[in-house]
Amino acid sequence: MSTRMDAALPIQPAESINISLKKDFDAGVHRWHEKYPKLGTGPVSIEPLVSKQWFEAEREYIYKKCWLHVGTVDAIPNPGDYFVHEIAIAKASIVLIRGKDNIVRGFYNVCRHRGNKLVWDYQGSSSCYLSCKFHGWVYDATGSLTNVPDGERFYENLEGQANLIPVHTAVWEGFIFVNLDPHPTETLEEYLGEAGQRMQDFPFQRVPLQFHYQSYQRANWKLMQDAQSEIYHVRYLHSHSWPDVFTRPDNPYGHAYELDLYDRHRVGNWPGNKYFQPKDVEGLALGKSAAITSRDNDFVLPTGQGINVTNADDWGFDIVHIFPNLNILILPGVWHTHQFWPVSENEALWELKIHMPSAATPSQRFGQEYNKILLRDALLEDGATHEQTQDALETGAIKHIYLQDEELFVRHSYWAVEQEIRARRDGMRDSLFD
Amino acid sequence: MAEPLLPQEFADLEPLAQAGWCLATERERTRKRRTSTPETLRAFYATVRPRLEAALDYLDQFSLDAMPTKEQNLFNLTLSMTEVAFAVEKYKGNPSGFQAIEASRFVPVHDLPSGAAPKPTLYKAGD
Repeated sequence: MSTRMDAALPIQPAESINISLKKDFDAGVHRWHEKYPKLGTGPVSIEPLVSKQWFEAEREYIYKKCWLHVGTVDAIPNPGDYFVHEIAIAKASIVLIRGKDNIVRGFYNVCRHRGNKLVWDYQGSSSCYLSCKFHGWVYDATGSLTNVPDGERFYENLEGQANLIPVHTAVWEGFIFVNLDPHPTETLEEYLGEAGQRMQDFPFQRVPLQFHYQSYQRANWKLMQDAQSEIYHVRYLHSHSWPDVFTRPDNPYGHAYELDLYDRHRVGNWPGNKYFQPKDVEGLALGKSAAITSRDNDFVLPTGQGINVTNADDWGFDIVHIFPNLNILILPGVWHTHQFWPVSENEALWELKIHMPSAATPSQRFGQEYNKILLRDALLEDGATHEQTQDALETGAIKHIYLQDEELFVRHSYWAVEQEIRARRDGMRDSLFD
Repeated sequence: MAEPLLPQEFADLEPLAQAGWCLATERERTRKRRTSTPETLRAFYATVRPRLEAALDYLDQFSLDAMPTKEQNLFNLTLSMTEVAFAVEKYKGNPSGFQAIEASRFVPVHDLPSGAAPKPTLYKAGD
């Protein structure tokens, strides 16, 4: 074991490492290729990261066809609460509103009168009615047009007729999804498949949405997503911010315990570093709140069967990827969602939502704040690679990228995007498991 | 001498309060950190660190939702410590780290007044 250690790492003496491993994270250097041979081993073309044509195909055959996550139910807890989600690639603005019947419905954010944008703010609460600022048309939370000022001057009765245009909306484990296809080919449950079933076991709703960030970047959405899909980079890019949060002497490159692929989605399980030694104030703060490093304390949530599937006692985190652009990062006491919304072939909106327990006291709030900053500052480092990589790829100097076995999720991402386009455009759906 | 911002028990931290470290939002706190010199950050850390546990214990007597003004100022000062501690403990005092995009590019939507964002995708650097 000690031969693998890097002298530069601040580490525990090798003798003190005594972890009973449920699974071996070093079992075969090409173990993931052996598990999923269909993905191949060759270099991957950069075309999907720079091509306008690819972007147009993604618009038509992925973002206008697939179920897309837009938020969680705890963002709109009360009847009448609403939020607006812009889906730039589809030129769609969607308003999600909870009705008096507690059902969350989605509508195109367009007034039926002369097409004005109905809701102008980003989120809010209403009395279960939304009114247009232009001429005062009023709709209820089921989308029905309930009041038209000076209505008798129209030539037909529009109330209850010229209703908001609904968008297919469904909720799974508190995650709200919409589908812009007027006739979705699958229900949300069918779409999520086995990956969705694995999410069923985790008590997502026990920790509410606390923090929300957005970053608008000049990079392809898949390139940004790739950075949140592997741990290989942590030791280098995050050498100052997260030197030993996940990586550790016997697993310096953060090899996974288990990587499971589905045709579109993926779920991975990684060990953490039980011997993580925080800095001074860091340790004080992390002890006061649920943290990405929580272990053996009240903040740790039960994982059920689907999450931490190896039941590792040194569990670090799982990544649940729901195609096309949702990564759910689940850690012992907190969870985050990353989303990567394409705007053009080289622009995207990165959206991060942090779910953690509510702080009951000032010192808990202090701990929560540190946790947020620990994550945020590491993500600012991830952000530094996105635009520079995009710029570098657009020089045309390289045509392919090389991926190692532990970057399986990156390789799968390009495969899954291509398969979805082929399936919707050409009617040929390939499977990893044929 | 300006009107004290902090409770009497924490008068020793008053110069930091007067220097503008009692900031209510993450946006303001991280901007203050990133426009400070490493020397300023280290001095802040060295002054607040020995008083941090006492400040948090003191603040825990109050409700998060209903803090008197001076206590709220002290609390906001301890929240600034999360920013400063990260720079001092992880980045050797470097306010912005070593290989990161500008923090202003990563917009804390939770700090924006509720409902005030007309179109989230329009938020870019410098907003």
